[in-house]
Amino acid sequence: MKRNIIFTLIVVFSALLCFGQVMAQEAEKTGGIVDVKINPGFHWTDWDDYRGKVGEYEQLERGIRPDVGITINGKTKYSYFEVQGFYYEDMDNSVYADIDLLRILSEEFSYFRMPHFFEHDPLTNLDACFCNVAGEPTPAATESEDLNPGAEYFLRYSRMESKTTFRLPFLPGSEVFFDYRKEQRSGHRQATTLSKCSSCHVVGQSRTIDEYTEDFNPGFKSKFGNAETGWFTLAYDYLKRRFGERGDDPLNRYNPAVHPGTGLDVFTNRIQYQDATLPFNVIPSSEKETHTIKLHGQFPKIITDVFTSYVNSSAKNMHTQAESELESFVARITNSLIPGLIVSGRFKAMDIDNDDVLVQVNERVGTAGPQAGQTYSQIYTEFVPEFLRKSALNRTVYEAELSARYRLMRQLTLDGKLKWKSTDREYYEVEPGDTQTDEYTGRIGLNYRQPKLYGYLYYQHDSISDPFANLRAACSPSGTNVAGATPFTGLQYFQFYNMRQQTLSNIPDNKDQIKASFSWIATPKVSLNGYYRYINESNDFDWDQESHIPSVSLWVAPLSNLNFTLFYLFNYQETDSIICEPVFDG
Amino acid sequence: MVAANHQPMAKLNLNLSLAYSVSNAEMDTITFDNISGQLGFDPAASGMALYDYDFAEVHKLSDLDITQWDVSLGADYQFTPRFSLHAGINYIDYDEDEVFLADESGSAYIAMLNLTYWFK
Repeated sequence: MKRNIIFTLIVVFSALLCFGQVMAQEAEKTGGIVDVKINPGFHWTDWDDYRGKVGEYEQLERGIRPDVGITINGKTKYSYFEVQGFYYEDMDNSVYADIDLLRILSEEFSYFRMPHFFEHDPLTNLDACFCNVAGEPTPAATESEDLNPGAEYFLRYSRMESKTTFRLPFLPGSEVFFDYRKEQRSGHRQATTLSKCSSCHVVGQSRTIDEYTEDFNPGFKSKFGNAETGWFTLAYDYLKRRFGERGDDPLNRYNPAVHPGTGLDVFTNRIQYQDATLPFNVIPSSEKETHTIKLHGQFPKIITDVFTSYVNSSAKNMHTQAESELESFVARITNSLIPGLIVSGRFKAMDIDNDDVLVQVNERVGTAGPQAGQTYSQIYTEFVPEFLRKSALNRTVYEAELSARYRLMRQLTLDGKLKWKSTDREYYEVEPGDTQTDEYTGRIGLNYRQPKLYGYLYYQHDSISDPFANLRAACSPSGTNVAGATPFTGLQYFQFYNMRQQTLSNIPDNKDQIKASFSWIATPKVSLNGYYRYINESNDFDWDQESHIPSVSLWVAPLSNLNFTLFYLFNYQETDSIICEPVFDG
Repeated sequence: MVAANHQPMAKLNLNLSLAYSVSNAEMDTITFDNISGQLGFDPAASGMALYDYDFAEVHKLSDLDITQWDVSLGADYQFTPRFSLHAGINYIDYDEDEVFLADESGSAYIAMLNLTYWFK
């Protein structure tokens, strides 16, 4: 093995030496310039205990292994080019190339791959639910099963991008382009599912991942006009995106849903499926198409900049055939006609429309026990299992923003911004009878800049009326409620859910934010940087959150050939929220 | 994090970096009501006598306590304007003091030696 490594290293190094020498000589003949750099070498790696977290994105293969890199850049009479390649491990390598021919045709290409390691949940924490006086889980009403114990889960991730641009020589300022991108993920990760009733039996097994995301993105851009009337840039691009999963869906055996104590088949009318091997963790393929038109106008005479864009996008779930449509319009105008003052206005309108989905339920008839011969909804007539899902994503959004920057003095500018956003959800109430959320934002700040000291200080306040919330998320009215000793009479779980009263949300209706940063070059040998961010947010549903992030870094060069950098960051966040925790027992 | 860079001679450059981070997360005590009096039936007679409704330690189950070290030392020597040598070592440690689902603590050791040659 060692001999193979050394031999490989010698061969690669010799080949690169010859290649580099030839390139340099050829370039010299044609009057071009070529720089070639090669980096052969090797690395030794070892690890202890679990490598998935300490090297989550590293291929930590034990032993000595070769690596090699090459960089070529230069120019000829007709072209500029740069090529970089690096091979570290089988799952860790990259290639980059950038070529320009006569400033007419340019191609930028990149490819890289890397590993991503995932955790393997042994599921043993689930045995903590029930225990006897000796602390042992009993009876076996809650259990877990890892069908691939000890399996190491990781993916090979790769991304390839190509950007081809053709500048039309017969139409100066215009270009057509074609961009292509493909991401792939392959390997295995853990998939979990529930068997029998709710969380009584959790199963984990390996799932094959073979995913791809592919983008085709052609378009054109054209700049025209003049300094008198104004410069205009018109751009259009079309995006076609495809996502697919080619790995087989894992299968699980779902046991008969019998009573855990008596073994009788009395729960048939409460379940969708049983006694069958069925797929789970199904990942649907999807496709998306987007049309984007942009128009940018610059009017030097009145120092005004205008930008507008329109986006039309549709996405489709190829498994359910459900579609989602989006339309968006943005307009922005910026003017700096008054010396020292820059004023900007922005407006956005967006509409999202998703298909309705009929949620169908397999209503089974009871086969034994007191509810034999009946479906669940026949016994509990207020329970309606099938429904037409109206999407909570359907909405119309309007945004308007006004911002200004004024130079108070040579080194000091004042910044201000006012913003309003209205979100009207077609099928989702954020308060009884109200589907609209309104957000108001005000921000003011100072920027200071001089050669050795610069920084900023900002304060922002957000006020949100009726933020997104779950109106009946938790908490039944009379404290603790207990279902009956047998499942066939007394309080049913769906009735218990319907008793929930408390509105809960982790979206604030009030938010205050302070941001500050400075950079100070004290002397040519000492510089100090600092940053601080404070956020305080709360809502009317007993939720609030506070965070502080200060950081400081110091650079010191006591000698011309010696320098130190010290950096410290502290991140603190505290969240308060009420909890209403349902406890399910068998 | 601390980093240092030193050039003891014109052809030799040394660098050292050391990063240490501590991450903690915890919840306040969650108080669950004692529902024994509200069950409306005798658990012992229903086969539930051995069930444990003590939730006093539930708030600790999601605690996180993670310590990470990342230490690297490197040297670059420029033999000629076209030829240089780089050597380096890197030690990374990830330590979970409060195990969440499984203990994912681990350490990694990496050493590297690379030549660089320029064709100019």
